[in-house]
Amino acid sequence: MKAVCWMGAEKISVETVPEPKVLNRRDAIIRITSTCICGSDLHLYNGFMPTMEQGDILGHEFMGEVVEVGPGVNPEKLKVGDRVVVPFTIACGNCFFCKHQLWSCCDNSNPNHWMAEQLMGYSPSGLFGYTHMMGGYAGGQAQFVRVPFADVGPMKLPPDISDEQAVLLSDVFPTGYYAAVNADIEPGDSVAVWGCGPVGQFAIRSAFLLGAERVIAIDRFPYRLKAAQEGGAEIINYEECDDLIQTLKDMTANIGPDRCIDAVGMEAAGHTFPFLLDKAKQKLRLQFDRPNVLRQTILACRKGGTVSVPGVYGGFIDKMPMGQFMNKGLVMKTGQTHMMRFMQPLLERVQKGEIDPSFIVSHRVSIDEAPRMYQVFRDKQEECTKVVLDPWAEAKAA
Amino acid sequence: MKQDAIIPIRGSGPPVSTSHRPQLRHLGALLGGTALAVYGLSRRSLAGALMASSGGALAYYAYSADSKPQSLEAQGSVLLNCSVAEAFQFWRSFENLPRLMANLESVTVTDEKHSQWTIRGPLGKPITLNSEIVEQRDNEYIAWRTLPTSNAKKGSLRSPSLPGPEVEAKGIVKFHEAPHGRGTVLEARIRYWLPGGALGRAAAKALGKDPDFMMRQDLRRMKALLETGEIPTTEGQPHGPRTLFTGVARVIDPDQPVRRDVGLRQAIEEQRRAS
Repeated sequence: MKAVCWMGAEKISVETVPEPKVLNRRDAIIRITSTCICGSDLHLYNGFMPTMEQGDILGHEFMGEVVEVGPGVNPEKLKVGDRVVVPFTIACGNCFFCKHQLWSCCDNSNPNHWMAEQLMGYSPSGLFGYTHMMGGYAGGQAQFVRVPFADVGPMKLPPDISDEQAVLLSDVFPTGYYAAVNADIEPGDSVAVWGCGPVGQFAIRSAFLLGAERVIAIDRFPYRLKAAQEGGAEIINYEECDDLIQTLKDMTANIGPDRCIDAVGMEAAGHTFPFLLDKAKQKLRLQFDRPNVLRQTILACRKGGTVSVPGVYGGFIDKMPMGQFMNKGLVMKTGQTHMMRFMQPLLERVQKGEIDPSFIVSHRVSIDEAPRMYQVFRDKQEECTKVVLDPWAEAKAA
Repeated sequence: MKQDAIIPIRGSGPPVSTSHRPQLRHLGALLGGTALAVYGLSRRSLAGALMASSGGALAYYAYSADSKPQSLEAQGSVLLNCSVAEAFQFWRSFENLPRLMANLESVTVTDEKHSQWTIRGPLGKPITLNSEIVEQRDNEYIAWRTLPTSNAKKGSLRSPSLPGPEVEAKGIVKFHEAPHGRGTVLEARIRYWLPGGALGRAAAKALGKDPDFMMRQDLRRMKALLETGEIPTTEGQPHGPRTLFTGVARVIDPDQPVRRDVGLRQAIEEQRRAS
């Protein structure tokens, strides 16, 4: 089968590899019909995440049809022929964390638990196609994929939901929604969202769904800011503003946004001195992360407000404004999305017509074009907001 | 039940050496000798053979010079989402244990109190131990120790292929209910007397295979098996072309026992192809 493989930093290629087999009793094999490139795949593309190996199959946003189930899969939950969307976090369904709905903290789904423990001191759940310390599972930018604990994660889809709507329920839409849930939005709140990539766009729309009065979106790319505006947000191009924190205060009667969402993470861009220092340290491998957006959210947030961090971070950060964080009495909430909490409710919102997530998709291409699309998405070319790959389409003649 | 009441391990073992520092002279000789032997073998010539044999002798000297048995302790604990009775029963059926213990090849239960354990010793050499339950209280604890085998001299267990080393062990595993319906807490503690002493331990640690780590891994596999009915794996999944480096990294993977039934080159190649 065809699969998108990581062959080193900035080296992606489509390889022909063997088809996956059922390895454990509760596995299923899915024939993939649609799969996306996620913003967090770009961290792998750029080579910032440790424990990738040449030949790893990428991809954690995918959906398709069940073609095989292991003997231990509960037939009431999943059977051959079901059309499903698969969450990017793998969960066993029966450990302490799964029982407490903390699905992305599952204790039993990462076979390389010890690697994550040695690097970070603990291990989150296994993920598809996202480093060996997160399980080393082959990802879903391929024609087939093996899904462990298949009677826990995959969600069956009604026929009135299109592929394009459904595949976004595998990560990005629930992640944007979880960011807004974590922000503890109350009626009347103003919410500032840093980063208008796919997660940011969903965070903006979810904030409104959850009752925000206004949303302020911060980015530097006009096409992203335009999409944010279409979602109802007021916009700030931070490159055109001298003092972002003061601008946010000025927009909120001098108290700052009630809720701040960092939808950027470890590879923040910027043009100020602390940013350049972070970039140098990251290049020298002195820190994995460039946390300038996280600092800004803390500095901007109103007293007693909430900072929600859906952005991905890798390790220790420098120059955390802890004094401001403490003295303002802020709350910070973060984490990989507990997917199984949100997939069903969001599917219902899509069915009711409250939101159509497919607005985010800008590119629909064959899997053969994946290597080029990684570069296009990373470099923000072609007004790229979301790439959906069709694993079965032949490449168009260039 | 009181948390801090560690039940003492009963029965006598060999004297515990108080020195825990590997002797540098011996370590140097071991590493140097081994390196010389490996390099010599790779040359495939007369000079190479001489180099290999002198290197081997040096390594053997270092190995035997510090082969006084030395004790190691491994301990770990884990939270299991099942009843105390289920956890106890799972462990008490010793035949279950090879499924989760990477270094345990097989267990044969001979009678109510006795069983025979075959473990993978250094470099995959099998070592058979006879184990006896010293004390047991249902749903609370099991304490056991190894017994001398009939064909070994009294008080020691001789591995069939190593010069003079003894492996002995005793352990205790305790079970108690976690608060507020959170399942069962299992605590295990095992004390080993290993051949090769500090050197063996240093070598094991260099490969990441230290006893606490192995214990944590074993308990984690037990947790997965009890809670989900399977142990998570990616062994056998597809991938694109790997590098040689990946193969080497996987052979020295601290979570994988070193195998002796295949050559090193073959093992590396196999690992490069597998996931």
